[in-house]
Amino acid sequence: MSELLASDPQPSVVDADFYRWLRDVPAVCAGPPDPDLRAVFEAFLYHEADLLDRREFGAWYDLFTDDGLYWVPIGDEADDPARAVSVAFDDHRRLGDRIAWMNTGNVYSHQPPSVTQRMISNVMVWAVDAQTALSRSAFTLHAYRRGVTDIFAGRYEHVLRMDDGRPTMIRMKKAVLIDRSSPLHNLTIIL
Amino acid sequence: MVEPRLDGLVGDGRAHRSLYTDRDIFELELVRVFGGTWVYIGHDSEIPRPDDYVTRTLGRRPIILTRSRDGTVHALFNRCTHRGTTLCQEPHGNSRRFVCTYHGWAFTNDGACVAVPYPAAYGPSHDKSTRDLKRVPRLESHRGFWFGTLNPDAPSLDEFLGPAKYWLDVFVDRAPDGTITLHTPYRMTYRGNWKLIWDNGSDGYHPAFSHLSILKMSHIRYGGGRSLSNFGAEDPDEGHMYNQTLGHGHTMLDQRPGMGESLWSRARPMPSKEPQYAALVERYGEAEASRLVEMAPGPGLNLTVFPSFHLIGNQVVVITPLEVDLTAVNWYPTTLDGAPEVVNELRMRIAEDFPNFGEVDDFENFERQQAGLSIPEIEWIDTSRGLEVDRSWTDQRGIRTTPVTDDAPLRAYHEEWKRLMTVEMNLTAG
Repeated sequence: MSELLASDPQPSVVDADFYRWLRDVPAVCAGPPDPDLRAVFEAFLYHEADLLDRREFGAWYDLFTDDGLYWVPIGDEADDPARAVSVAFDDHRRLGDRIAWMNTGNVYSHQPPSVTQRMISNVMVWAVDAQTALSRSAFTLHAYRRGVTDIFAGRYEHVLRMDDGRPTMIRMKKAVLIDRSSPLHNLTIIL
Repeated sequence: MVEPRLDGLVGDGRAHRSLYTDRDIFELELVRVFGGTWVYIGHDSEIPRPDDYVTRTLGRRPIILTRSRDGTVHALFNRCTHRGTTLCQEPHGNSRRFVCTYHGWAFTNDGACVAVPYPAAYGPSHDKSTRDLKRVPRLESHRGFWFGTLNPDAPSLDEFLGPAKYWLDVFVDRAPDGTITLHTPYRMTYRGNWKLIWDNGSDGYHPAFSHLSILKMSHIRYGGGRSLSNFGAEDPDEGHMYNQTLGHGHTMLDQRPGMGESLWSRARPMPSKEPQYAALVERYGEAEASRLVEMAPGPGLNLTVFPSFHLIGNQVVVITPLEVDLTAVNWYPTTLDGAPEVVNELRMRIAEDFPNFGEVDDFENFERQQAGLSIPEIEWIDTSRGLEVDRSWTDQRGIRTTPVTDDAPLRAYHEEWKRLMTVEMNLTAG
């Protein structure tokens, strides 16, 4: 991980096809979820949340594929990310920037750091093919810092790479906040 | 409301803490500053079609900015003339009429009262036209930016903007069609007074310290020095950037002298950078692609138009005071009308950089200021930088240019603040 973050990160892979792929993701979620995949997905999502709560940002970053995306949209569901800003639209390189940035020790909004606790439920999973599955889940994130607890709530959408029937890597993590249309405080926290 | 004491709060290189902490001063600001001078309300591109509207506030006053059928733009108070109920709850939409949910009074989007249910009981003298919605009496625009004021004695918008107009034009003229479009903003808050971000707007003193995290990250990831390279010098005052005071509290910080030929090559790598640049080259050829991609970053200036409007990077930033110690800051991304889709997409990815990795550190410092300023026994902040060592010069238009770390922009807006807070004012709802 550390050498990946050191310098000269790989060029971006976000191109017109990538945007097209993103626009098509929700359509795959039609139909009832697959109950057989739920347990392995829950285990993966809990592990991911635990890494973030323990501030193991490097290990969390390592879960992303080279063409992975961490995405926190703003505005209407229908907004095209190519024509809208997001709170985060982090391809692999910018996600590396974010982790390197947090590791500088000079992110003042992390001094002292927020103590966070994520909770995940309502996990629904759809298999796309042997290598890919999607999930939607509900999350709440309490973040305590300097006498104030901020609450973030919303929905996760994950596109995960599957190996031998288990999720192993994150192709996309999208966190859709319920209050994304109102002003938000201290979004330096990874959702 | 208690009349707060206002004399002697700013001047002589200092400002009193009550500017940032006093609730009575804050409430008075919402009336006098956010009502008594031209305040930015919205942009043409947010209400492009007939019957489009957005809801906004002027201080605490709820308003609806509408475009009626004939294309005219109106700033109506979002207040039923019957009992005061707000008429429109949506942030934006398209509607010809606004109907009160309480007693059914109805108004068209030009403000005309068109229905009062069961009118007979009001008697023969009842005239609907005397019940039209009140409006922000003065509403003018420049290059699609709409400003309003309740002050009949304010100068024209043209005079108010003054030299700031030129910089607004620089920003908008980069669009091939000569117009820009605003999109859904990134909305952030900090728990501090609204003027703390104003103090910061043309402050070239803070970046090497407040933005250490982004400087270090850039150094670790992409090499180069740890100083903000666009200052071009260790001591930012030895570089070529400068700031200007433009009158009426407006300021401009010009980063371009430190940025070299290419704004694009100075931009930190953003998602989609290489594939989308390659797509431009494939479509337009190398020379044209390198010209087009210069439209993606901002023009290299920070413009502030007091009291609520900034241009930063390629974004329009709007500051909304919510409470004495709570401020909302909306970062509207903009696209250039007539520019290639790919260029406008790159503008989105560039716009996500600074709010994420830069502004958040400023916000934290504002919150630390707000906490420190709570001490009643320590009354003053220092705004004296450049007073004794005056390296400014004033041109024939009256524009004062100072080194980039000078407090002159801050002192200039404090003077305008003082003027607005104390001058005789007869605010009216038209």
